[in-house]
Amino acid sequence: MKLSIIESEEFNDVEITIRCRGVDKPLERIIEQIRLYGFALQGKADGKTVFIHPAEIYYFESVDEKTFIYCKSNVYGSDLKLYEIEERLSNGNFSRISKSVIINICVIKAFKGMLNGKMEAVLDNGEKLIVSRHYVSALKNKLDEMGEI
Amino acid sequence: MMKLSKYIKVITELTAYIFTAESLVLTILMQFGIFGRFYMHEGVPALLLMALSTAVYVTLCGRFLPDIPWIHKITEPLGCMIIVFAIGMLTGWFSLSWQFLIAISAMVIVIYVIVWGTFTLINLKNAKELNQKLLRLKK
Repeated sequence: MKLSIIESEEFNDVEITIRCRGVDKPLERIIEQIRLYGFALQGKADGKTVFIHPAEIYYFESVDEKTFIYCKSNVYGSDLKLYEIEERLSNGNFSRISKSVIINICVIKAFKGMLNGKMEAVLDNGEKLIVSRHYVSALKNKLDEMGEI
Repeated sequence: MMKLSKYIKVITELTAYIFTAESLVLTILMQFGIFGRFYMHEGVPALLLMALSTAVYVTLCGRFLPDIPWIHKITEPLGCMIIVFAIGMLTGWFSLSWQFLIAISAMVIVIYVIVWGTFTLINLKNAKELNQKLLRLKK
């Protein structure tokens, strides 16, 4: 695969052109990643609305029917339901790890199997989230898909 | 926080594991002439009740006790022993004697080790596999 990047002051906007014989699965994922480049989610905190890029998000959590967006050190509220977020980001780097949490795989430092039968995902910022056994196989598939690129 | 449906699912699964382990251990013990007076019509419901009660107890321990392994390793088998004894006594399956106390305690510990050993092995294997995939991805 050839990659050409042309930088010039005369370009006002980023333009990406893909030349290929056909769109296969790995390329489909790259295209989805490019689409997410310009995508931002609305988050609310202290009465203010902010736009958050998916790469800044660590995880989403649903608590008592409310959805929260967790970034490295900030937490925002969201009007979207967890399943809506899952639909929008399903081709990105996000995966559900329990009924109430969708995680950004890029921020996972390691997985830790506990002796009490639980599994934890340790994040870059030191936070630990429980991975439900029911989502382990989906998580494996997601990691495989991401590794294909 | 886990919802009630999630608790029911976890408890049902755990009950199935415990009941299977109980049945296996009991069958082996019966081969050696221990628990010779086991009758299906009274034994199976009592076993199921023991499995269900211990599953509820262990799930509640996981929810309310601090996440410190040694606390779980002490309170869980101990609580399970008390539950098994109480049910055994109430159903008239056990009598209060040293012989039963030692045999049932050993049985509870063996079942506890089998069930949690199974969970832990599956868990550790999954964590290892996920870490390998994650490492490959980060390279």
